[in-house]
Amino acid sequence: MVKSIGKFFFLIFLFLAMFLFFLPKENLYFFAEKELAKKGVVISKEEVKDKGFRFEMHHAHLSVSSIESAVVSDLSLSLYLFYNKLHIDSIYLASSLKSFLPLAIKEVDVIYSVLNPLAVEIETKGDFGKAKGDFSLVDKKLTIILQPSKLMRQKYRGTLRNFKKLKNGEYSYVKSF
Amino acid sequence: MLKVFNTPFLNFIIASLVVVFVAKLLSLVAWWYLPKQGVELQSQEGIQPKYRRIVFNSMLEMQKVKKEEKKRKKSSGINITNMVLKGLYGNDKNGFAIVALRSKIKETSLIAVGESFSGYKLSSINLDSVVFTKNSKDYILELLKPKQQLQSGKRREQKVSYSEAVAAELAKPREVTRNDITYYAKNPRQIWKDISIREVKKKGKIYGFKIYKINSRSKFAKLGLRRGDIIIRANNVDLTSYKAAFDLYNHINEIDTMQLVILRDNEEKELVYEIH
Repeated sequence: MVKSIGKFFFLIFLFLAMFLFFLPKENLYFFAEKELAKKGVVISKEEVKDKGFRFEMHHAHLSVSSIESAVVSDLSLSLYLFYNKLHIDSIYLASSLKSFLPLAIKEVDVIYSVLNPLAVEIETKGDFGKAKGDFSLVDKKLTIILQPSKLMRQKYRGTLRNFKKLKNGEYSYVKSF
Repeated sequence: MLKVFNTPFLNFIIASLVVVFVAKLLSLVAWWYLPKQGVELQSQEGIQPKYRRIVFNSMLEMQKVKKEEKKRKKSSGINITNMVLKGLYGNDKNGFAIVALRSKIKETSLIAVGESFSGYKLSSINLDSVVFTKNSKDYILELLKPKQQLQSGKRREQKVSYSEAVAAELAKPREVTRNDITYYAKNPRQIWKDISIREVKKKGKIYGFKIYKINSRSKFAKLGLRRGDIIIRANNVDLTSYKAAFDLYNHINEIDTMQLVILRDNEEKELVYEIH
Protein backbone atom coordinates (compact mmCIF):
# COMPACT_ATOMS: atom_id res chain seq x y z
CA MET A 1 0.00 0.00 0.00
CA VAL A 2 2.74 2.43 1.06
CA LYS A 3 4.69 1.38 -2.01
CA SER A 4 1.74 2.21 -4.28
CA ILE A 5 1.26 5.63 -2.68
CA GLY A 6 5.01 6.27 -3.06
CA LYS A 7 4.83 5.31 -6.74
CA PHE A 8 1.82 7.57 -7.22
CA PHE A 9 3.59 10.59 -5.70
CA PHE A 10 6.71 9.81 -7.69
CA LEU A 11 4.66 9.80 -10.90
CA ILE A 12 3.01 13.10 -9.95
CA PHE A 13 6.42 14.61 -9.25
CA LEU A 14 7.78 13.18 -12.49
CA PHE A 15 4.87 14.64 -14.42
CA LEU A 16 5.33 18.12 -12.93
CA ALA A 17 9.09 18.02 -13.43
CA MET A 18 8.78 16.87 -17.04
CA PHE A 19 6.04 19.37 -17.73
CA LEU A 20 8.29 22.15 -16.41
CA PHE A 21 11.17 20.80 -18.48
CA PHE A 22 9.19 20.60 -21.73
CA LEU A 23 7.22 23.80 -21.18
CA PRO A 24 7.97 26.21 -24.06
CA LYS A 25 9.57 28.89 -21.89
CA GLU A 26 10.48 31.14 -24.79
CA ASN A 27 6.85 31.24 -25.89
CA LEU A 28 5.69 31.75 -22.32
CA TYR A 29 8.11 34.66 -22.14
CA PHE A 30 6.66 36.10 -25.36
CA PHE A 31 3.20 35.83 -23.80
CA ALA A 32 4.41 37.65 -20.65
CA GLU A 33 6.08 40.23 -22.88
CA LYS A 34 2.78 40.92 -24.69
CA GLU A 35 0.94 41.28 -21.39
CA LEU A 36 3.62 43.69 -20.13
CA ALA A 37 3.43 45.67 -23.37
CA LYS A 38 -0.24 46.38 -22.59
CA LYS A 39 0.98 48.15 -19.45
CA GLY A 40 3.58 50.13 -21.40
CA VAL A 41 6.56 47.96 -20.46
CA VAL A 42 8.51 46.68 -23.46
CA ILE A 43 11.59 44.47 -23.40
CA SER A 44 13.52 44.60 -26.63
CA LYS A 45 16.79 43.57 -28.34
CA GLU A 46 16.97 40.63 -25.95
CA GLU A 47 18.36 37.16 -26.63
CA VAL A 48 16.37 34.38 -24.97
CA LYS A 49 17.30 30.73 -24.38
CA ASP A 50 15.24 27.83 -23.09
CA LYS A 51 17.59 25.54 -21.17
CA GLY A 52 15.22 22.92 -19.79
CA PHE A 53 14.74 23.81 -16.18
CA ARG A 54 16.27 27.22 -16.77
CA PHE A 55 15.31 30.19 -18.86
CA GLU A 56 17.96 32.74 -19.78
CA MET A 57 17.76 36.22 -21.23
CA HIS A 58 20.68 38.44 -22.22
CA HIS A 59 21.15 42.09 -23.18
CA ALA A 60 17.56 43.18 -22.68
CA HIS A 61 16.58 46.81 -23.11
CA LEU A 62 13.70 47.73 -20.88
CA SER A 63 11.41 50.60 -21.87
CA VAL A 64 8.57 52.06 -19.85
CA SER A 65 6.04 54.15 -21.79
CA SER A 66 8.43 53.97 -24.76
CA ILE A 67 11.20 55.58 -22.68
CA GLU A 68 14.32 53.44 -22.53
CA SER A 69 14.69 52.95 -18.79
CA ALA A 70 17.25 50.18 -18.21
CA VAL A 71 19.55 47.65 -19.81
CA VAL A 72 19.72 44.20 -18.22
CA SER A 73 22.88 42.21 -18.99
CA ASP A 74 21.82 38.73 -17.87
CA LEU A 75 18.71 37.24 -16.40
CA SER A 76 18.12 33.61 -15.50
CA LEU A 77 14.97 31.99 -14.18
CA SER A 78 15.51 28.58 -12.62
CA LEU A 79 12.41 26.46 -12.06
CA TYR A 80 12.96 23.47 -9.78
CA LEU A 81 9.40 23.02 -8.46
CA PHE A 82 10.29 23.43 -4.79
CA TYR A 83 12.86 26.15 -5.31
CA ASN A 84 12.48 28.80 -8.01
CA LYS A 85 14.94 31.60 -8.47
CA LEU A 86 15.11 34.64 -10.70
CA HIS A 87 18.63 36.02 -10.86
CA ILE A 88 19.48 39.26 -12.63
CA ASP A 89 23.05 40.40 -13.21
CA SER A 90 24.00 43.99 -13.99
CA ILE A 91 21.17 46.38 -14.52
CA TYR A 92 22.09 49.81 -15.86
CA LEU A 93 19.38 52.38 -15.48
CA ALA A 94 18.91 55.10 -18.09
CA SER A 95 20.83 58.31 -17.49
CA SER A 96 17.56 60.23 -17.26
CA LEU A 97 17.00 58.49 -13.91
CA LYS A 98 20.31 59.54 -12.43
CA SER A 99 18.68 62.21 -10.33
CA PHE A 100 16.64 59.55 -8.51
CA LEU A 101 18.96 56.56 -8.17
CA PRO A 102 22.57 55.49 -8.72
CA LEU A 103 22.51 53.91 -12.16
CA ALA A 104 24.24 50.56 -11.63
CA ILE A 105 22.52 47.65 -9.90
CA LYS A 106 24.91 44.71 -9.59
CA GLU A 107 22.46 41.89 -8.97
CA VAL A 108 18.91 41.08 -8.02
CA ASP A 109 17.65 37.73 -6.66
CA VAL A 110 13.98 36.86 -6.41
CA ILE A 111 13.37 33.50 -4.70
CA TYR A 112 10.24 31.47 -4.21
CA SER A 113 10.62 28.21 -2.31
CA VAL A 114 8.35 25.75 -0.53
CA LEU A 115 10.15 26.55 2.71
CA ASN A 116 8.42 29.95 2.65
CA PRO A 117 5.39 29.36 0.43
CA LEU A 118 3.50 32.52 1.36
CA ALA A 119 6.18 35.01 0.37
CA VAL A 120 8.60 35.81 -2.40
CA GLU A 121 12.02 36.85 -1.15
CA ILE A 122 13.96 39.66 -2.77
CA GLU A 123 17.63 40.51 -2.39
CA THR A 124 19.60 43.08 -4.31
CA LYS A 125 22.81 45.06 -4.24
CA GLY A 126 24.30 47.83 -6.29
CA ASP A 127 25.71 51.32 -6.11
CA PHE A 128 22.73 52.27 -3.93
CA GLY A 129 23.79 49.77 -1.25
CA LYS A 130 22.09 46.54 -0.26
CA ALA A 131 18.41 45.77 0.04
CA LYS A 132 16.47 42.79 1.31
CA GLY A 133 12.78 42.30 1.35
CA ASP A 134 9.80 40.14 0.60
CA PHE A 135 6.46 40.24 -1.07
CA SER A 136 3.71 38.67 0.99
CA LEU A 137 1.36 36.72 -1.24
CA VAL A 138 -1.34 36.78 1.42
CA ASP A 139 -1.36 40.51 2.22
CA LYS A 140 -0.01 41.54 -1.20
CA LYS A 141 2.46 43.72 0.64
CA LEU A 142 5.98 44.57 -0.41
CA THR A 143 8.53 45.24 2.32
CA ILE A 144 12.06 46.41 1.54
CA ILE A 145 14.83 47.04 4.03
CA LEU A 146 17.60 49.15 2.56
CA GLN A 147 21.15 49.57 3.76
CA PRO A 148 22.11 52.64 1.74
CA SER A 149 25.64 53.16 0.47
CA LYS A 150 27.62 56.30 1.19
CA LEU A 151 26.80 57.53 -2.32
CA MET A 152 23.10 57.01 -1.71
CA ARG A 153 23.22 58.83 1.63
CA GLN A 154 25.12 61.77 0.16
CA LYS A 155 23.57 62.31 -3.26
CA TYR A 156 20.13 60.73 -3.13
CA ARG A 157 18.61 62.06 0.06
CA GLY A 158 15.48 62.96 -1.87
CA THR A 159 14.91 59.32 -2.81
CA LEU A 160 15.65 58.19 0.74
CA ARG A 161 12.86 60.47 1.95
CA ASN A 162 10.43 57.95 0.46
CA PHE A 163 11.76 55.38 2.95
CA LYS A 164 11.23 55.26 6.68
CA LYS A 165 14.42 55.56 8.67
CA LEU A 166 14.96 52.80 11.22
CA LYS A 167 16.91 53.09 14.44
CA ASN A 168 19.75 50.86 13.22
CA GLY A 169 20.48 53.21 10.31
CA GLU A 170 18.58 51.13 7.78
CA TYR A 171 15.61 52.36 5.80
CA SER A 172 12.33 50.56 5.22
CA TYR A 173 9.78 50.85 2.46
CA VAL A 174 6.36 49.23 2.64
CA LYS A 175 3.78 49.23 -0.12
CA SER A 176 0.51 47.35 -0.37
CA PHE A 177 -0.98 46.36 -3.69
CA MET B 1 12.20 -13.41 -20.30
CA LEU B 2 8.46 -13.52 -19.84
CA LYS B 3 8.99 -13.04 -16.11
CA VAL B 4 10.96 -9.83 -16.76
CA PHE B 5 8.13 -8.36 -18.81
CA ASN B 6 5.61 -9.17 -16.14
CA THR B 7 7.51 -7.60 -13.32
CA PRO B 8 5.92 -4.61 -11.49
CA PHE B 9 9.13 -2.73 -12.23
CA LEU B 10 8.46 -2.85 -15.96
CA ASN B 11 4.90 -1.64 -15.35
CA PHE B 12 6.32 1.24 -13.36
CA ILE B 13 8.74 2.11 -16.16
CA ILE B 14 5.89 2.09 -18.69
CA ALA B 15 3.77 4.28 -16.38
CA SER B 16 6.68 6.71 -16.05
CA LEU B 17 7.10 6.86 -19.83
CA VAL B 18 3.39 7.51 -20.24
CA VAL B 19 3.64 10.35 -17.72
CA VAL B 20 6.60 11.85 -19.63
CA PHE B 21 4.65 11.49 -22.87
CA VAL B 22 1.58 13.24 -21.40
CA ALA B 23 3.80 16.06 -20.04
CA LYS B 24 5.34 16.53 -23.49
CA LEU B 25 1.92 16.45 -25.12
CA LEU B 26 0.59 19.11 -22.77
CA SER B 27 3.63 21.31 -23.35
CA LEU B 28 3.03 20.98 -27.11
CA VAL B 29 -0.58 22.11 -26.59
CA ALA B 30 0.74 25.08 -24.59
CA TRP B 31 3.26 25.82 -27.38
CA TRP B 32 0.43 25.74 -29.95
CA TYR B 33 -1.55 28.42 -28.12
CA LEU B 34 1.31 30.66 -26.97
CA PRO B 35 2.67 33.50 -29.14
CA LYS B 36 5.65 32.68 -31.35
CA GLN B 37 7.11 36.17 -31.35
CA GLY B 38 7.80 38.79 -28.75
CA VAL B 39 7.32 42.53 -28.71
CA GLU B 40 9.98 44.95 -29.90
CA LEU B 41 10.09 48.66 -29.26
CA GLN B 42 9.20 50.56 -32.41
CA SER B 43 11.80 53.24 -32.85
CA GLN B 44 10.45 56.59 -33.88
CA GLU B 45 11.92 59.62 -35.57
CA GLY B 46 14.62 61.42 -33.65
CA ILE B 47 14.16 64.82 -32.09
CA GLN B 48 16.50 66.62 -34.51
CA PRO B 49 13.64 67.55 -36.71
CA LYS B 50 12.68 68.87 -40.08
CA TYR B 51 12.20 72.15 -38.23
CA ARG B 52 13.52 75.03 -40.24
CA ARG B 53 13.19 78.58 -39.17
CA ILE B 54 12.48 81.10 -41.84
CA VAL B 55 13.55 84.60 -40.83
CA PHE B 56 10.40 86.22 -42.01
CA ASN B 57 11.22 89.55 -40.38
CA SER B 58 14.24 90.14 -42.60
CA MET B 59 12.23 89.24 -45.64
CA LEU B 60 9.72 91.88 -44.68
CA GLU B 61 12.50 94.39 -44.35
CA MET B 62 13.54 93.60 -47.89
CA GLN B 63 9.94 94.11 -48.87
CA LYS B 64 9.97 97.61 -47.45
CA VAL B 65 13.19 98.48 -49.26
CA LYS B 66 11.62 97.63 -52.57
CA LYS B 67 9.34 100.62 -52.62
CA GLU B 68 9.13 100.98 -56.33
CA GLU B 69 7.69 97.73 -57.42
CA LYS B 70 6.78 96.91 -60.91
CA LYS B 71 3.10 96.73 -61.44
CA ARG B 72 2.22 93.12 -61.42
CA LYS B 73 0.05 91.40 -63.84
CA LYS B 74 -3.21 89.99 -62.70
CA SER B 75 -3.90 86.55 -64.13
CA SER B 76 -7.28 85.23 -64.94
CA GLY B 77 -8.60 81.98 -63.55
CA ILE B 78 -11.08 80.23 -61.29
CA ASN B 79 -11.51 81.28 -57.66
CA ILE B 80 -10.70 78.79 -54.94
CA THR B 81 -13.44 78.88 -52.37
CA ASN B 82 -12.20 76.50 -49.68
CA MET B 83 -8.89 78.31 -49.10
CA VAL B 84 -7.98 81.66 -47.59
CA LEU B 85 -4.94 83.79 -48.39
CA LYS B 86 -3.83 85.44 -45.17
CA GLY B 87 -0.58 87.02 -46.34
CA LEU B 88 1.94 87.11 -49.14
CA TYR B 89 5.41 88.27 -49.95
CA GLY B 90 7.36 88.48 -53.17
CA ASN B 91 6.57 88.97 -56.80
CA ASP B 92 5.77 86.72 -59.71
CA LYS B 93 7.90 83.58 -59.36
CA ASN B 94 9.65 84.41 -56.09
CA GLY B 95 7.97 84.62 -52.74
CA PHE B 96 5.68 83.02 -50.23
CA ALA B 97 2.01 82.88 -49.42
CA ILE B 98 0.38 82.29 -46.05
CA VAL B 99 -2.68 80.16 -46.65
CA ALA B 100 -5.21 78.25 -44.61
CA LEU B 101 -8.28 76.16 -45.19
CA ARG B 102 -11.56 77.92 -44.44
CA SER B 103 -12.48 75.02 -42.13
CA LYS B 104 -9.24 75.46 -40.12
CA ILE B 105 -8.59 79.13 -40.55
CA LYS B 106 -6.11 79.31 -37.65
CA GLU B 107 -3.86 76.57 -39.04
CA THR B 108 -1.81 78.56 -41.49
CA SER B 109 0.87 77.21 -43.82
CA LEU B 110 3.73 79.05 -45.43
CA ILE B 111 3.93 78.03 -49.09
CA ALA B 112 6.75 79.03 -51.42
CA VAL B 113 6.31 79.37 -55.17
CA GLY B 114 6.50 75.84 -56.59
CA GLU B 115 5.19 74.18 -53.41
CA SER B 116 1.76 72.63 -53.09
CA PHE B 117 -1.05 73.10 -50.63
CA SER B 118 -4.14 70.91 -50.59
CA GLY B 119 -3.27 69.68 -54.08
CA TYR B 120 -2.85 73.18 -55.54
CA LYS B 121 0.62 74.24 -56.66
CA LEU B 122 1.56 77.87 -56.03
CA SER B 123 2.65 79.19 -59.41
CA SER B 124 2.93 82.97 -59.04
CA ILE B 125 2.42 85.94 -56.72
CA ASN B 126 0.49 89.09 -57.60
CA LEU B 127 -0.04 92.37 -55.78
CA ASP B 128 -3.01 91.19 -53.71
CA SER B 129 -3.54 87.63 -54.87
CA VAL B 130 -1.72 84.46 -55.70
CA VAL B 131 -2.16 81.97 -58.51
CA PHE B 132 -2.37 78.26 -57.87
CA THR B 133 -2.29 75.60 -60.56
CA LYS B 134 -4.08 72.29 -60.54
CA ASN B 135 -4.55 69.95 -63.51
CA SER B 136 -3.13 72.63 -65.85
CA LYS B 137 -5.80 75.14 -64.72
CA ASP B 138 -5.06 78.39 -62.93
CA TYR B 139 -6.86 79.29 -59.73
CA ILE B 140 -6.71 82.73 -58.14
CA LEU B 141 -6.79 83.25 -54.41
CA GLU B 142 -7.23 86.80 -53.25
CA LEU B 143 -5.83 88.27 -50.06
CA LEU B 144 -8.22 88.05 -47.13
CA LYS B 145 -9.83 91.44 -46.49
CA PRO B 146 -11.61 92.79 -43.45
CA LYS B 147 -15.41 92.97 -43.62
CA GLN B 148 -15.35 96.67 -44.46
CA GLN B 149 -14.20 97.14 -48.02
CA LEU B 150 -11.00 99.13 -48.10
CA GLN B 151 -10.41 101.75 -50.67
CA SER B 152 -7.97 100.68 -53.32
CA GLY B 153 -5.39 103.23 -52.16
CA LYS B 154 -5.24 101.59 -48.76
CA ARG B 155 -4.65 98.09 -50.09
CA ARG B 156 -0.92 98.22 -49.87
CA GLU B 157 -1.12 99.62 -46.36
CA GLN B 158 -3.38 96.80 -45.30
CA LYS B 159 -1.02 94.24 -46.71
CA VAL B 160 1.96 95.63 -44.84
CA SER B 161 0.10 95.85 -41.54
CA TYR B 162 -1.02 92.27 -41.90
CA SER B 163 2.52 91.18 -42.64
CA GLU B 164 3.69 93.02 -39.57
CA ALA B 165 1.12 91.17 -37.53
CA VAL B 166 2.40 87.90 -38.88
CA ALA B 167 5.95 88.95 -38.07
CA ALA B 168 4.93 89.79 -34.54
CA GLU B 169 3.30 86.40 -34.29
CA LEU B 170 6.58 84.73 -35.11
CA ALA B 171 8.34 85.60 -31.93
CA LYS B 172 11.90 86.81 -31.97
CA PRO B 173 14.34 84.01 -31.23
CA ARG B 174 15.52 84.15 -27.63
CA GLU B 175 19.09 83.32 -26.87
CA VAL B 176 19.93 80.47 -24.54
CA THR B 177 23.45 79.67 -23.49
CA ARG B 178 24.82 76.15 -23.69
CA ASN B 179 26.04 76.63 -20.10
CA ASP B 180 22.47 76.92 -18.86
CA ILE B 181 21.60 73.65 -20.55
CA THR B 182 24.70 71.93 -19.20
CA TYR B 183 23.83 73.22 -15.74
CA TYR B 184 20.36 71.67 -15.88
CA ALA B 185 21.68 68.48 -17.49
CA LYS B 186 24.12 68.07 -14.60
CA ASN B 187 21.56 69.04 -11.96
CA PRO B 188 18.28 67.53 -13.14
CA ARG B 189 16.98 67.92 -9.59
CA GLN B 190 17.14 71.69 -10.11
CA ILE B 191 14.72 71.37 -13.04
CA TRP B 192 12.01 70.06 -10.72
CA LYS B 193 12.77 72.79 -8.21
CA ASP B 194 12.36 75.48 -10.83
CA ILE B 195 9.46 74.11 -12.81
CA SER B 196 6.62 71.67 -12.29
CA ILE B 197 5.23 70.07 -15.43
CA ARG B 198 2.56 67.42 -15.76
CA GLU B 199 0.90 65.81 -18.73
CA VAL B 200 -2.51 67.01 -19.87
CA LYS B 201 -4.88 64.45 -21.32
CA LYS B 202 -7.81 64.71 -23.67
CA LYS B 203 -9.97 61.61 -24.05
CA GLY B 204 -7.31 59.58 -22.24
CA LYS B 205 -4.50 60.64 -24.55
CA ILE B 206 -1.68 63.04 -23.73
CA TYR B 207 -1.82 66.16 -25.87
CA GLY B 208 0.76 68.29 -24.08
CA PHE B 209 2.55 69.13 -20.86
CA LYS B 210 1.19 71.83 -18.61
CA ILE B 211 3.32 74.11 -16.46
CA TYR B 212 1.81 74.04 -12.99
CA LYS B 213 4.52 75.95 -11.20
CA ILE B 214 7.44 78.05 -12.34
CA ASN B 215 10.03 79.78 -10.23
CA SER B 216 9.94 83.41 -11.35
CA ARG B 217 13.70 83.76 -10.72
CA SER B 218 14.56 80.64 -12.69
CA LYS B 219 15.94 80.48 -16.18
CA PHE B 220 12.69 78.90 -17.34
CA ALA B 221 10.78 82.06 -16.46
CA LYS B 222 13.31 84.09 -18.45
CA LEU B 223 12.57 81.89 -21.44
CA GLY B 224 9.08 83.36 -21.62
CA LEU B 225 7.26 80.38 -20.17
CA ARG B 226 4.42 81.04 -17.75
CA ARG B 227 2.33 79.11 -15.30
CA GLY B 228 -0.64 77.57 -17.12
CA ASP B 229 1.13 77.28 -20.49
CA ILE B 230 0.67 73.92 -22.17
CA ILE B 231 3.65 72.88 -24.27
CA ILE B 232 2.18 70.96 -27.18
CA ARG B 233 5.03 70.77 -29.68
CA ALA B 234 8.81 71.01 -29.62
CA ASN B 235 10.90 71.18 -32.77
CA ASN B 236 7.96 69.97 -34.83
CA VAL B 237 7.48 66.90 -32.64
CA ASP B 238 4.07 66.63 -31.00
CA LEU B 239 4.54 66.09 -27.28
CA THR B 240 1.92 63.38 -27.05
CA SER B 241 3.95 60.93 -24.98
CA TYR B 242 6.55 60.87 -22.25
CA LYS B 243 8.90 59.35 -24.80
CA ALA B 244 8.68 62.47 -26.95
CA ALA B 245 9.45 64.65 -23.93
CA PHE B 246 12.33 62.42 -22.79
CA ASP B 247 13.76 62.28 -26.31
CA LEU B 248 13.91 66.05 -26.28
CA TYR B 249 15.58 66.00 -22.86
CA ASN B 250 18.09 63.32 -23.93
CA HIS B 251 19.05 65.12 -27.15
CA ILE B 252 19.13 68.61 -25.75
CA ASN B 253 22.91 68.83 -26.15
CA GLU B 254 22.66 68.17 -29.89
CA ILE B 255 20.11 70.89 -30.57
CA ASP B 256 21.07 74.40 -31.62
CA THR B 257 17.61 75.77 -32.31
CA MET B 258 14.54 75.02 -30.30
CA GLN B 259 10.98 75.83 -31.21
CA LEU B 260 8.24 75.40 -28.65
CA VAL B 261 4.58 75.69 -29.48
CA ILE B 262 2.54 76.47 -26.41
CA LEU B 263 -1.13 76.91 -25.71
CA ARG B 264 -1.67 80.09 -23.73
CA ASP B 265 -5.23 81.27 -23.07
CA ASN B 266 -6.40 78.77 -25.69
CA GLU B 267 -4.18 80.37 -28.32
CA GLU B 268 -1.18 78.75 -29.93
CA LYS B 269 2.04 80.69 -29.54
CA GLU B 270 5.47 79.91 -30.85
CA LEU B 271 8.64 80.43 -28.83
CA VAL B 272 11.96 80.10 -30.57
CA TYR B 273 15.32 79.73 -28.87
CA GLU B 274 18.78 79.84 -30.35
CA ILE B 275 21.27 77.92 -28.27
CA HIS B 276 24.80 79.29 -28.28
